[in-house]
Amino acid sequence: MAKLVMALRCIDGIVLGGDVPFGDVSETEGVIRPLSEFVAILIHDDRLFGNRLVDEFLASSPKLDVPIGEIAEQAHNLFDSKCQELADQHQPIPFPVGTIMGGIDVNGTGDIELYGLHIGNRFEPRSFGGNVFGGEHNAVARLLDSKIHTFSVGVGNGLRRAAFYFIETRSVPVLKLEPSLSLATITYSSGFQSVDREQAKQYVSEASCWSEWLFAACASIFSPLSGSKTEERK
Amino acid sequence: MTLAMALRAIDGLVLATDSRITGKGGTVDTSEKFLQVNRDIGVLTYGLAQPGYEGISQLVLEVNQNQWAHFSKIAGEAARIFQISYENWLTKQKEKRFHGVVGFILAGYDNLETNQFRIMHYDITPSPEQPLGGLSMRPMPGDLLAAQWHIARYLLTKFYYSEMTVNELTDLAVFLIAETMAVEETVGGPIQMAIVTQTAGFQRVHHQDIIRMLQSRQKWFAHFNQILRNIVVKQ
Repeated sequence: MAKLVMALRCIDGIVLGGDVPFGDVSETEGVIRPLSEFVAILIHDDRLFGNRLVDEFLASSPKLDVPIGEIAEQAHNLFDSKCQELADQHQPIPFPVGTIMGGIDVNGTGDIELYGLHIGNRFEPRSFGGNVFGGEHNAVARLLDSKIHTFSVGVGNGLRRAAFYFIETRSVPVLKLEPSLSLATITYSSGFQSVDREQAKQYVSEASCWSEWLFAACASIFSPLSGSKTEERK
Repeated sequence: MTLAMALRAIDGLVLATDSRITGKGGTVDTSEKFLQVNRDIGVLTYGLAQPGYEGISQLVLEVNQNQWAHFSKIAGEAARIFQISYENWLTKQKEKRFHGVVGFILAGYDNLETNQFRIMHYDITPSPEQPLGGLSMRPMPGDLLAAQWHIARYLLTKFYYSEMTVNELTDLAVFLIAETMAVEETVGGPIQMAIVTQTAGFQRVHHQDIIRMLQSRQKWFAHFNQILRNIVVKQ
């Protein structure tokens, strides 16, 4: 299960990220799937079923040289029909599963466009103006993003923020994310680029330091009440 | 949904919820999700508003009528009452589908049997196997956060410590709910809160006091935001 995926808007493109199992995960089992040079799709919650849907979508030879909204509409039609087929055959439909489709709309507006497609509303595309988060455990990332994200940062900083949201969500023991973070960027200059595992680990490692710093700094907020807590942490 | 919590302080419990109902027609911030059962015990509900409120009202009614005093007796009867309330509500529904979850938190001081603060969690989740919803009932040895709990749990890992007093914990509970409200649109409206202590039993925290807490603790909110912004600067 992919319980946290995110698409962060930056000044020079977007950052895509999501939690994945430890070790080698093939592209078709991961959470980030490129559709074209400037468009990708993120899969959240039931990762395996989501990948099956994306495989079927790519196999159906969709028209990808159109605005992203139209690609999202094609995906909506196919995903919904595949679920309907399962229902007609009285087979269980995995739930929940969702996707975030986004990229640079080179065949449309020329801007960054992001759409959410969720099984809860039969994959009807929903356009988002800000950053988009998916997965069962995305609330902590949304909280942090609401406080710190600005669209004026570059994708380099966006990658660090994605790693920070991931590590902070993982810091809550009951929020059981997969142990690794998969990252990619789509920029105006270079299109889709996957971040290799070692580099992603480096971002997570950096973010762990900020996480520790944040934990220590938070102790000071309740310090008028929490002498013993401050003592304990020293 | 909602955010419902029962937190343990060194000298008592803090119980709190928001007051928002979310439905197809929008949101309403007047829901009563919280009642006093007897001197030492309170009950909260979350999830489906109508069967939730019927469940907690019926519990209070039956406890008063039957003069039940023991926590274990009330906890056991509560399971029966909550299940019946849910089933009664279900039979009135025209739409035959799986409805959402409804949950309850019963919490208070058990002064007759264990002399401990106790928290019970009840949850009714319909499934294909149990369309009427199987009720689960669990004693909670620690804190309990229910429904839209993710942000509150995250903030608790940062700010909670076991030596907190009830007074300190009410401030923290307000902080947790306010931060959740800022992000989750299904959590909102006036905060409903009570404390349970050994000496004074169940005491509702007045709305004006909660407003005062929110106002006087604005510097914490600002400080937390500042800390996070400093991380951005470090990047």
